[in-house]
Amino acid sequence: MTRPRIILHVAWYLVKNRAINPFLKKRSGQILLVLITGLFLINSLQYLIGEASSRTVLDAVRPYLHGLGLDHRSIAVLISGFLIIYTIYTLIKGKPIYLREEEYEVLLSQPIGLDEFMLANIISILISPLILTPAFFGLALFGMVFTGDPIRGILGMFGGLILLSGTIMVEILFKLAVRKTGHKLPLIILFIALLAAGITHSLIARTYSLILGIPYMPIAASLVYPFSKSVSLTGAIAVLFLGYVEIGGLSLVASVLSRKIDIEDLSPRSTVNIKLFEGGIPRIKYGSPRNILYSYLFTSRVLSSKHLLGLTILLSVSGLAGLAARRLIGIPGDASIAFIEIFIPMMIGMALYTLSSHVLAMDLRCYWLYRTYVIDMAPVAGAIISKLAVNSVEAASIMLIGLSFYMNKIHLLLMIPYYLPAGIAGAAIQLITLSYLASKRQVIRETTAGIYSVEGLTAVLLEIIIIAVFMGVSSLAFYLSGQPLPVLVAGGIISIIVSYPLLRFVERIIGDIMTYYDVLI
Amino acid sequence: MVNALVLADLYKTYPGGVMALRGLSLMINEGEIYGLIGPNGAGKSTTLKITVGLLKPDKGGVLIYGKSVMRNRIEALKLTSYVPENPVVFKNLTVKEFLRFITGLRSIKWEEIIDYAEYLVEGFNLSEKENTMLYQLSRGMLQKVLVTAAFLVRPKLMVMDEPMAGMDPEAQHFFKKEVKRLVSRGATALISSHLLDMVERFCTRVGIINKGRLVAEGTIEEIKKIASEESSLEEVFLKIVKG
Repeated sequence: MTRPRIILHVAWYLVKNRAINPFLKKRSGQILLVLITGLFLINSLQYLIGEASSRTVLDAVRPYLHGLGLDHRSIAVLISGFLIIYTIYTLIKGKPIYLREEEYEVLLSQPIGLDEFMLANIISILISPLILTPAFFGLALFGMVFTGDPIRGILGMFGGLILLSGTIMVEILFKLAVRKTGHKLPLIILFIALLAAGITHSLIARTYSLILGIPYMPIAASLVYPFSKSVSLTGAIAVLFLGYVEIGGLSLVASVLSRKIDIEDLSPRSTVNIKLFEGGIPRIKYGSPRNILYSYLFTSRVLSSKHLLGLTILLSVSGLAGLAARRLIGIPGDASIAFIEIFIPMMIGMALYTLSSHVLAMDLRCYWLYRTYVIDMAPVAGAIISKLAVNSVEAASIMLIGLSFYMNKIHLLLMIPYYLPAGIAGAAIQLITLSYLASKRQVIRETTAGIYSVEGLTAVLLEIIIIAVFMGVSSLAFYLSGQPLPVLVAGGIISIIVSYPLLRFVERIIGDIMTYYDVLI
Repeated sequence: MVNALVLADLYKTYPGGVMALRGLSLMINEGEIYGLIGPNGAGKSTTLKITVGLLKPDKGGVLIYGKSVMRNRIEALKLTSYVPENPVVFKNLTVKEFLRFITGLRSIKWEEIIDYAEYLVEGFNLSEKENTMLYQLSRGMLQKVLVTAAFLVRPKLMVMDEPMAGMDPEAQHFFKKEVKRLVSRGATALISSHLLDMVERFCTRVGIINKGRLVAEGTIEEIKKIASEESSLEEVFLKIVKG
């Protein structure tokens, strides 16, 4: 029998621990809240008294979007399509539901039912984003600047919340479904069939097929429709309502499925971090300390069969997506290319930052070991930077192979080496920041958490820097790709040649900084 | 004599194929302080996690005061408190919030236990940290907070995995005093530890676990007889474990 009082008690403290205290009880969070709210109000006032420019970002972007055959409906369909892919991924992985360590060890050893915990967890997932108002108020601010309408900005903020909660709920729901039914294959086949039908129909009809929107259109539309002037405010509110209804439905099904949840369906998050990065036993080449460190931190990871397989799949998918896009909407015009050249690198840059943050957090789990056993930290820094730089080049390759097929510009592939020196520079900035922050923490305190990661405003700033670096080199690459072939090849060779001394230079500097921060201070 | 805890024929194999428990059985009577000792990887933490329902055994069962943890989880855990091996906490709560959270899960009104809470907080030197976020505390401090929570919920059975790890001597002394006081009032304790001196002087009965099996059990005197009367628990432990 579920006890509503216990469920609400747990949900309240989960929200407090996940959202209220970490943000609203910290000075930086409070400042950010005041700042963003202030900016939103000042801008709203400007729009309300009509002093703001009448031409909005949306007006400026609309022609590019139309050039790509995109309108609010098709963008929502695409988001829904991505949610289908995410569902398939969740089903294939079929992992247990991962919880924070404390939620697993402390909470689940208390006299609460696992179904009660899951219900509290679901409530917390639905409420927590609402508490993180500053981040989402930022979305409202963006929405207002984008559309020139404060009300649409606020509606867009709720749309963002719906998409976030919806994505988490989809993951929980299908994990529960797999765990409870034990039959994931029919579900995988169903969603793959839906995706295949949507893509096929899109290619044949040369449009973004509504089939892709079947399962998740209300959730996806919640984010997009408030920002479109083609949709009335009433229409946007109705879409948000439908989005909430769909999330409510998903939550309801998840609640029912969680009634018979088993302790083995839940797992502490530390296990996922370990599984995520395990790739068999690394083949370490013994020899000098430098060889060992490079072998462990760089070669064994970058050249692991798991990594290479993943890379091959992503390159293939990107290439196929590029070809499909060319078939679907044709080679884009100049205006659309300008938009693509900004938008796609921005997205890839964001993904790259997320990946590199994980890699760094995992690599520095044994920071204490490097501190105490490694005399010279330069090889540690060098190996980590090399790995992140290679990741950066891989991300660029995935992006460029798709775009070269889509835009029919095979020369773009020659620009891949250009990302190497930029990747080294970006990785160096990340590593310096992280090692500096790590030096400010007590080792004993962090051993329980086990990893070092950048949080809060620093994370936002670092993300902006990494995205800016990636976008900067991408702009250069797109600009240069029109140059004669020998120039491109020469540029690529120079990039590779420059990278080596650059790497040695930064590894020396950062190695010394890591030693300085961690040992001498 | 009331059985506070019965572990019957527990088997547990982890997904990687590691067999942690191979038919472990033990029985703890009410009012005992039972020390579970064994080498690393012997299965101590697995045993404790199964006891409090964090892991499901492949075979066997757990009864807490006659209530099955597998079939009647909530009722069994209402009688139990647990201190995990690593001091993982809700790091964005303050000490006071965390204690109120845990006691609230048992429907214990804060007003009813405020005096006892103050006594424990004082005893563990946490008074000045009451409004401090848990992420700001050291490992030893976190351990004290977890133990405080475990005492506060008025458990009949305390299950503690290395409860004194990281605690300063003053806190260790207070911990032992409080466990003895609670046990004298009818509680029972199952403590896993590597501190053999502590186990020898503090626990009323000891179980030695090795490779997932209980290989020796009894009072300190009974265990010592396995080697010789003059042996320390450490010597007996080494003799049993190393064969």
